[in-house]
Amino acid sequence: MFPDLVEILLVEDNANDAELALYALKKHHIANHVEIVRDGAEALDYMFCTGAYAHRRIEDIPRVVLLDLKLPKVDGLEVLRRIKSDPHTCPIPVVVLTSSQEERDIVESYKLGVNSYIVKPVDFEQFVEAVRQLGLYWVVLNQAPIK
Amino acid sequence: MFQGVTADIPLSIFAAVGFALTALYVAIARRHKPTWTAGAVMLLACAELTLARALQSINPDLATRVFWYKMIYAGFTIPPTAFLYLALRYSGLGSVLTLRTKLLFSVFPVLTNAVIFTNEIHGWMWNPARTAFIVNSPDFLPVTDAGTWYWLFIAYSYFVMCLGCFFLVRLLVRSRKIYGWQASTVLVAAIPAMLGPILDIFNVSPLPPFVSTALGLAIGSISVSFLLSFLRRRDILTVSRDAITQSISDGIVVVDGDDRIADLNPAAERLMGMRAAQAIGKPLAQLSPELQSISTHQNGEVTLHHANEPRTLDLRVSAVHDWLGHVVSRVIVLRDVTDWKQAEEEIRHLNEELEQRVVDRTAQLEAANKELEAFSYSVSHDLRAPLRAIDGFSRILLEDYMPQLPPEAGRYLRIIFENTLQMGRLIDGLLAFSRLGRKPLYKQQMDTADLVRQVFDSLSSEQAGRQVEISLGELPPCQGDPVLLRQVWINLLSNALKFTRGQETAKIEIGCLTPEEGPPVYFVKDNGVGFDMQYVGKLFGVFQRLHSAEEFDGTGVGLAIVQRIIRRHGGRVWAEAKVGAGATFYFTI
Repeated sequence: MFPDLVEILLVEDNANDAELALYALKKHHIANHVEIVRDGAEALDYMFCTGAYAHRRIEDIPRVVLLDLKLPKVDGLEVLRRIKSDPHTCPIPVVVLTSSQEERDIVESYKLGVNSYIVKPVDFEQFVEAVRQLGLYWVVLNQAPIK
Repeated sequence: MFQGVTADIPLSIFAAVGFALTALYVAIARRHKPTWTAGAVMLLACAELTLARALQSINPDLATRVFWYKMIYAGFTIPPTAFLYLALRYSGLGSVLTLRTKLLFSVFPVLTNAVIFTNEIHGWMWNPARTAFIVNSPDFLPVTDAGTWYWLFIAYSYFVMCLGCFFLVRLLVRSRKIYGWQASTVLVAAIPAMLGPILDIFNVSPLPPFVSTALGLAIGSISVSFLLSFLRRRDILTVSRDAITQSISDGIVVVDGDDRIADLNPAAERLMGMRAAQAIGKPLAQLSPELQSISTHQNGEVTLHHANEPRTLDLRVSAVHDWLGHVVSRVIVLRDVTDWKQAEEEIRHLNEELEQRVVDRTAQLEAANKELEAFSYSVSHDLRAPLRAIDGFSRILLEDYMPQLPPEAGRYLRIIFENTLQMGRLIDGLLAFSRLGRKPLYKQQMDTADLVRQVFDSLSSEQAGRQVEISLGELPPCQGDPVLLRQVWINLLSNALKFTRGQETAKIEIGCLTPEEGPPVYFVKDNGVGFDMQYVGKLFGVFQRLHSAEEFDGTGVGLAIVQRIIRRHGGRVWAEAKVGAGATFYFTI
């Protein structure tokens, strides 16, 4: 594996949640390189190599994007829509990882082409387990479309 | 000679009696009419002259015969004047009959009587030399024997009767146009009175002499008087219709076959802004093209602008056909619907305003609903995140740094995440509860018994290792939302299982009461800890709990959810319990 290849892009505005997710991934040795962005605009910059990420090579795509829905600036659903409507980024698996159990969020996400929708459990053990499983599935088991 | 006149004696007597009786009838039955005296007098005169005729015939003595013969003529002097009186009174000209005019009218009859009874001196009535022949002849006075006064008398009598007829006809023609045809009827009825005497005068009557005169006068006057009163009554209808046409507020325009205005009532004059005198005879198209264009087709509406403000008129057109089916006239009824239209417009306006208000209110409600949704969304999202952090980091502490922590610290950390979990459950319960209010109902026929069995099976973990006795009564099917009603049964049955935990054998009874009136009442009865009925009011409130968390876990949302679902179905839920003796929950759908 390339050490600087980003395996997971974590879009999360809540620093605690981000840290806990990172903790869970590290604990189970799933991902070595997780890039964390704090809002929707940053996420789009990263994905489309603009702004602060203008220097990034667009070919280096993450194996999976973990996307929160409630984000500052540009919200998660908009980020999802942009990713899935661009031919370069649409094959990248996007997993929504959110606190929202709202049916309309779930329905809307699937309509936009999300690959998975996971509600963050309040219980930490369950949360760690959820992150472990999805990391294992999307980063290790799942065959990504583009190498 | 003598025998010749006896033939008509019975007839004359019969006629005299008839006239007298009719006079009596007229005097009695028509006494309240102004015409009765004239009528009765006329009939009495007829009776007198026919009786005189009979007496003249049966008396052999010449002098007596002459006297009765003269009495016949005396009788003749009365009916014409009486007829004139009758006509005057009938046509409302009774006031003309003052003492003076009465005297004036009686001058000629009195003079005639004087001439009759002094005929031997001057012979003005008939040739006195022929008196014996005349009174012995069954015939009427021969024309050749008649004197000057006789002709004068006849001329005067006819003049007076014609004058009477003139007044009657004038009355009819003047009062209403529609009486026109009746005037001719009256004239026809007066013919016998005119004709009878003529027949006698010229001796061409098929009846015995004098009788046709008397009969003619009597029949004529009686039929005229009856006909008049009958026609008057009958014409109340026509006249009242005429009055309606004149007074009704709807305009009525009658046009002839050439679309020329034939009649116009006052309302139509007002609505069309023209006088009948100017309009009648003119083409409708010229006076009101708008009306013309619509009225030729059918009913409709037209707006006229003749006055300051436009008036909207509702048109009803009826065609009048002749016996061949051709349209000879059309009657156009105009109704002014301007005010009605305005009221209608006002109602429409009010309705629109009302609708707008409903739209506004709906928008407000929708906004309130959106706010609520936003609230529950942020509850689900924002309140969970800190909880997760509290739980997560205290867990990390516990797992990764336990060895470095004093034992008390570990216990405190456990308390922290136990409470975190409880708060998570509370948030979930609250969200589930609020979501229920927004979720639409999908009602369908449901097999309640089957549903209850399924729910019990799903709660098997609650029953594991316990003695649970379940008695399932008859459960009729119901109409409801399957997902929501399943939740009701889950909550009630899991409550029953939860609160019987302390019993050696949990007894749970599920059944249905079917009252005579109203919907079936489902119930879940247990032998658990029950509760104090004092607090039954709090039972269905959100987060209301009647037991401590140590005794029984739970969030206090379950029964609130049950109540909300039942209420949304239009049903009712209530409970009965006793501390330590179990509880029963009832509900209807």
